[in-house]
Amino acid sequence: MPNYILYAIPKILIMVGFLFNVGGILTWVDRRQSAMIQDRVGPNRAVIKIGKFELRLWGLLHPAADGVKFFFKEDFMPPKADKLLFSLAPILAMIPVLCLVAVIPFGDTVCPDALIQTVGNVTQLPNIARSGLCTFDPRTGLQPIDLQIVSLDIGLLFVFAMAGQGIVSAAISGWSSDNKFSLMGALRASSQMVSYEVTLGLSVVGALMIYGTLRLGDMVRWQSEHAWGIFVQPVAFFIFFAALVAESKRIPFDLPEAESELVSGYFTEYSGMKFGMFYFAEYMEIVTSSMLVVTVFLGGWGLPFVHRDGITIAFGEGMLAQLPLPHLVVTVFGVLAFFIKTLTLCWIQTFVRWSLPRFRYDQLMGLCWKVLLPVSLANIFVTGVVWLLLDMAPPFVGNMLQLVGDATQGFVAVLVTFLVGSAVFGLFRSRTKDPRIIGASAELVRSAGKSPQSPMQA
Amino acid sequence: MMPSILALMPMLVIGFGALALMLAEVLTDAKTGLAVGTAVVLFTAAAFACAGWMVGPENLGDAAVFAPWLVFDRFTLFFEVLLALSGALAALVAGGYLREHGIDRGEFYAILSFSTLGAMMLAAAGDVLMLFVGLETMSIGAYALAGFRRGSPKSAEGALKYFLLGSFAAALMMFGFALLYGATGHTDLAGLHNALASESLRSPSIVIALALVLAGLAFKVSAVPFHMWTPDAYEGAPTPATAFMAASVKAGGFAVLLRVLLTVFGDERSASWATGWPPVVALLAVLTMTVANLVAGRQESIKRMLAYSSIAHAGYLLVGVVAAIRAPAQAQSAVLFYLATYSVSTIGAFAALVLCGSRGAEVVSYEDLAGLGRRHPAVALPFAFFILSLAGMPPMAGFFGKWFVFKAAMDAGLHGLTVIAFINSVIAAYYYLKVFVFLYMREPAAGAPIAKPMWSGEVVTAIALCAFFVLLLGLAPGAVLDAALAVGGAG
Amino acid sequence: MTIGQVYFYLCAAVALFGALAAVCAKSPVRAALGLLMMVLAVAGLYLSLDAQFLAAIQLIVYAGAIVVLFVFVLMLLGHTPLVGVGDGSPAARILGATGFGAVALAAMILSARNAEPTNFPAALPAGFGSVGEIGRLMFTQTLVPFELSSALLMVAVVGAVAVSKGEKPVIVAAASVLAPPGAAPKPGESQ
Repeated sequence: MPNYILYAIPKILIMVGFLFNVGGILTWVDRRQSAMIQDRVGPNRAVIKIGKFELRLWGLLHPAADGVKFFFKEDFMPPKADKLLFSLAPILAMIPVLCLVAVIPFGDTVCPDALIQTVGNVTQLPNIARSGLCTFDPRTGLQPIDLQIVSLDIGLLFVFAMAGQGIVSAAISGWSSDNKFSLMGALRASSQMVSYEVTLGLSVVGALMIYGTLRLGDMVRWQSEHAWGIFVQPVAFFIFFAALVAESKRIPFDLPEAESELVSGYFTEYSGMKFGMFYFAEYMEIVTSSMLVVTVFLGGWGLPFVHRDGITIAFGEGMLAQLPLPHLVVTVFGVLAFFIKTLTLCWIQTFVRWSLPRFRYDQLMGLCWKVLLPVSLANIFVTGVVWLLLDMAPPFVGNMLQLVGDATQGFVAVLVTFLVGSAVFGLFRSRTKDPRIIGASAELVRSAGKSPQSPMQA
Repeated sequence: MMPSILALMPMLVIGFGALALMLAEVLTDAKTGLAVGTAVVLFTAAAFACAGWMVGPENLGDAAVFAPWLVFDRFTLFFEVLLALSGALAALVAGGYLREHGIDRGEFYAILSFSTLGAMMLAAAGDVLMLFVGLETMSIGAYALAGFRRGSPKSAEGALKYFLLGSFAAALMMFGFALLYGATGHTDLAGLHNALASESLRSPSIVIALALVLAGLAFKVSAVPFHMWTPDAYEGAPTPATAFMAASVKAGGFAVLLRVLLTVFGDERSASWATGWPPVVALLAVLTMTVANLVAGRQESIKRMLAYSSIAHAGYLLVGVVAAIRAPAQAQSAVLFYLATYSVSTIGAFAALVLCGSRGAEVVSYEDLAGLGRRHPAVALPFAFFILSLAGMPPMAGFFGKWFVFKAAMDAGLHGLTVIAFINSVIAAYYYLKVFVFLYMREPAAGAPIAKPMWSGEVVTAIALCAFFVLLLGLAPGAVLDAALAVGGAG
Repeated sequence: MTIGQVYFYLCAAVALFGALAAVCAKSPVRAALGLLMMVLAVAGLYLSLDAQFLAAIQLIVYAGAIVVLFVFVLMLLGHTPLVGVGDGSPAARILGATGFGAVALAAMILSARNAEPTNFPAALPAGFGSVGEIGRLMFTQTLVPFELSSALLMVAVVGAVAVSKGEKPVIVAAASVLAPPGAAPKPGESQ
């Protein structure tokens, strides 16, 4: 078996494993967090009872319980449904999401022979050069390993190609269900997704022009050398993120499955594991879209000032500090950084659900075609003009830009430290002492003159 | 650099002019000037093409930077002038018609301009890729124009038929070119010609390719049996769009037909009577003329009659194309001259038809024309005039067009074909004269709805220009004929 | 058989099956899915020809947009089985299909037997099929058709607007699907 296939298997396991697990946990996060925001307890009944010992894990067992339930539920199919298409649709919903992660890099290229070296009896963790090239050792025959299942030349285009296939699933599930709510949901879903796909593709063009590549790995490298995409292309970032949320049909863009209007949209008629697949694909889509945003705009596996040879804090020409780190450590940092960034973004996406109201359908389409699309076209134009001007600019402008880029790295470092610090501080703050933490509904109940205790239990 | 820009100027003027007109429509909300604006843009383009002609393509040396995509020879320049003029005349007609019929939307002019641009690309195409881009630009514009009267089911029906069949024909043609590419490895027309002319290449796929390309082209020029869409599309479309389709789209189709048949398939084997396309095209010509003229006589609707008349004219033109294998220069210039006369005559006829009716009182059938010559002689006269030209009556342009094509066919030794064409033009006189009978010798039945002429300065201008060209080509054909001969000599 | 050949025959078989399904399926949505299948398989064939970019574009444009629009339109039309396809008698249809198929088959066989590709490169140039190389070609060698195709897109866009927007269409048989039978479409619903 060729080496690259051999290497691909663990990478696939890592990515798909992450996808499945985080997707599952996200269902819990979504529900639990909704409960917290609405001042209720949320799912906490799933329990494994062994004798007197009860394993609850704050409701973390719910995804597993749901999974078991999906498998044993009746697999109902409407009598007039198109049987083949009805069964095909959930599969088609899952496949693109799974394929999509193939091109997403979760770490920098690893030089296997530079991870751990044993010279005599001494095991050491060597460093490698910042340039990123591996010193290839013909004796070991180990090739450098991309921490990416496959590095395609068409990179991002592959992502779009796969993302586009999801629309078919929504369309045929609604059509084959023989239910007008499903049909309306499918109509809404497919027109929404087709529309936002245009915006999605056009919004990143500016970023692509700057990165000069479609390979996602090279995009991350560019970002760790210069500045994160969110600073280089802020407009593109917001449009891209909005379009991605719309593509995954989440609030505030969840018109296709607006429960107050369409029961559950195009998968109204689905039950059992088929429903589970739609449900689960949606959460996995959150994960993949987060991965994508992280890779294209948030520096991927990159951390501020961390390079392949270690930490180098420098602003332009001025070097402030340098700390060489072994290759192994840097690689692990990178992989962790990627996954933590992804998780954070997933969390933000679930958070958005309770922060923004749902659009009306014409507003949704209007937003896409009349706001986001023109803005992303303008973004491309402005990027091109600026790019041309920079080409003609004297060299000091380039140095200035490098300085600004380094400053953004510093900004990110400070911001993240601050946010993590305040989060930790907030977690350890006593609930009872801080009156702000008492829920708003408790406040309401108290003002109504009733007992402040537990106004709503799950 | 300058000469190359000059060569490209007609296309640039139309492209940017159309964009500017669209912006003008959005920003100023003034619709009245759009027709005149479009006409000005297209006339300017024609003027630039004339300037290119004066300079001479051989002095446009730098235009070779566009090779092999665009070829700027006299053939191209002739068609650029012709297409720009027909487009401008159609735009003028549209100015009056659209306003009268309450469909005065600025898109019409943009589509018309871009479609003209596409036809120009088609005439200038030196590569299959460019040919296809031009073909589609022209055709998609024509489809949209055909379906422009959105409220009318007839318009939608015609446009849909035109669109479906047109796409199918384009696909056939593309498949043919794909086979050619597979057999030769070339997409540029000159390279294809060289490859086909070489004795070593004898692939059956070339024959299939020829058949497919011919079918696609025959569709574009609406030759029988690929003409089914024509009457419906012409009838349903707004009349100025019909005029545009009958003149510009047909001219574009013949440009590419000549280019492909005489350049790509112009080698010994393909262009010989025994082994190549000439008998097929001759058959198409005979079928086209005969069927179209016979069916045209049975039409009730004037527009359908004119549609079949335009099919018949394609038949005469195909006779000229066949003649080009024996007498290339003469026949080709005859075809070009015929196209010029036909274009101005047919646009003039449609313009006069527009003028004959007004909103709610349009001229649809022969009956509607009854007595018009007595009631409104000023309106009936131009219609009669252009019908005479289409019929090929001597002092008009149409006569000389036919004369040169038939003469070229005779000189090429195609006696049988010439006789058939001649008989056909006699048959055609029947339905053209029927128009006269209704215009001047009938009175409308009591209580029948009668057509009320409209008034529009733009349409009258268009009619005046068409009449001028018809008389010019009929009485003093020298200049244009010399130009057409110069094309033939150069090509 | 090498892996490459297996891959080719697999893709080709799927493409043929998809095309057949697109032609033969009774339900229009199934036909559209057959088309989708063919499009995907052809994208696979492009991949085997080192044309990654083309494959991706095929997926994005054809599978992701065009087939979806087909399905979309079919959904708007509702559950209408294909009735009245072909006015001719079955015999005429079979004859036509056989004739056309025979000609196509003969063309293929003859072309394959006489295949003498003349000036195709023996080895692929560096960067063949890559995005960068295609972009370079597009903006240098084929700049003229590339730029002029903007006119094509422009006329298509304007044309689509022209035939779809404007005066109210005469409703022939629309709106009968989503509205229950007997319910008259409300004014303004026709758009």
